[in-house]
Amino acid sequence: MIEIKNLTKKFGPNIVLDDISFKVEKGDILGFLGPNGAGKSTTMKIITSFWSPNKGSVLVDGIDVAEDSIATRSKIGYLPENVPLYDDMRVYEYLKFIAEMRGISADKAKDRIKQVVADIGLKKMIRKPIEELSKGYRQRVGLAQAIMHDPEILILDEPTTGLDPNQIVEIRELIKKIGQEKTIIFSTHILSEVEATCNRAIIINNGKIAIEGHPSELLKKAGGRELIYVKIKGPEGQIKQAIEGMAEVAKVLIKDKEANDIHGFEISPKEGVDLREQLSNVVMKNGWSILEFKKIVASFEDVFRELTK
Amino acid sequence: MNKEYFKTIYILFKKELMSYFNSPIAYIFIGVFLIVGNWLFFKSFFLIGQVSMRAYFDLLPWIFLFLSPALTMRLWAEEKKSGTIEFLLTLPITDWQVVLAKFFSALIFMFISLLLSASIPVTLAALGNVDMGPIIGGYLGAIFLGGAYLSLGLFISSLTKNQIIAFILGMVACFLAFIIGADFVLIGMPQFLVPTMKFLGLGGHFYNVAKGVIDSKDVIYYVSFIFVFLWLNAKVIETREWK
Repeated sequence: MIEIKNLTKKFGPNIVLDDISFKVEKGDILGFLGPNGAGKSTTMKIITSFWSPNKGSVLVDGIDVAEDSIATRSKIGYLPENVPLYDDMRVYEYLKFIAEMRGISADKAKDRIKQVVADIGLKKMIRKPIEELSKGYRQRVGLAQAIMHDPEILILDEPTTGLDPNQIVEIRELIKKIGQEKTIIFSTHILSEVEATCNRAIIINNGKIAIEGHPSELLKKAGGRELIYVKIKGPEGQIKQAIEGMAEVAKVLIKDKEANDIHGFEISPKEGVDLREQLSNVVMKNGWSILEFKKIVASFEDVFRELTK
Repeated sequence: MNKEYFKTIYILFKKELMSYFNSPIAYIFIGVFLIVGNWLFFKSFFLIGQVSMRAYFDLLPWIFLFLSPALTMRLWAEEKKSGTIEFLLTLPITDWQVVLAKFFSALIFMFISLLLSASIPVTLAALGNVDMGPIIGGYLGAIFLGGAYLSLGLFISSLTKNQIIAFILGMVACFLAFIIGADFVLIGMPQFLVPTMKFLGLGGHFYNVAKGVIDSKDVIYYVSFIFVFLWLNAKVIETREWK
């Protein structure tokens, strides 16, 4: 659907994008992650043909953006960062302008606006001037604008920045709902958002792709280890010895102490083994008891911080 | 150039024209234009006692000098400042179409204000016999001159994010373009430059047309002037490397 080949963008001496290539397949929801200034917005601006790259090319549905940008723009709905809108217009006026600009004929525009407004949940605000809207509603107007012509591709630059937690969830649900039939690229700082909504993620840092894949794969790829935390009642020294003696265990650490005979242990298993069953056998055989048991997976945050340090 | 091409321009043109009327600037503009124009004209009109609009058209370039940058200052600067330019220029529209739509919205707005000043010729017609030739010529010249000021102002607006800067620089640029061919400037100039400067100045051409003599030379001059600055404007927008 979108093919990005060897994209390079410079601003004077600063290299903002350094030879980036990736593909987005039809139906993907791609999360675009990275610290500020990593090149997320720049990439989006190039795909939407606001900027042109110094090198490389962007194909949208097989069409080169540099050759026929009017055709590629028609396939894309774009929500720029910070949701710039014409504040002096009313919501309805604005959406009508968009519908016309997107080539929707006057007789169809009314129905289409109605439908979009219902989908996005903007009905109450339709007569208000845009400048009076709250941030959450501005974001909705921005989304409504982007999906007006029912584009195959949506590019959303930080659609949830600056919203309160409730609004974030609402907008995220909207994106998910819209994303059922569309290809979406969206950028964000919120890592859980990517885990919650995307089927692919790219982490970009200093203009280069640091890692890409399914959000859960990213954890593995980045060396996200799996640890087991277990709280056992019994004599500390003996327990540690017993666990260390197990064949599946690489390392054991005593993490905390709840009471004199209750300790928390952090266990790193050897590569690719499941030691849960053996562990509980060992504990039971010795007459101790397990009070707590959990798997600790290196979080997305850890991966992100590791990669973009 | 098909129908769609002009339809897109028309849609944006309509939106731009509407946004003049959505903000107080339209009413201030028309108000100031009519009050200042009428007052300055009628102040001397009864002293001179001639049924002619000559004095009015002598004034007009100076009134436009202040008012046309006020019309163009926000057209690009505001889009750049608020970021809407990013949204506008990623719609399926070419940079040229945007430039044309913005230019014509300002021009038509100016035209509307000129229409409202028709109270003057109507009053004159009631007072005595008027020679309509110079009046029609004067209005035509005003449109051409206005168009030239607006294309220059629009170009300057595309260079900055700040409306006030766009206004002041626009005014200075229009002033320079207007007086470059004026006699008091030409006096101090080397002889070989005089014909060129005389031709390049906006003023001389305006007074030609305003006399009621419509020469193709003047028309071509104005159309080229407007085209050059619209073209430069499109070039600036094309290389939008600002951050």
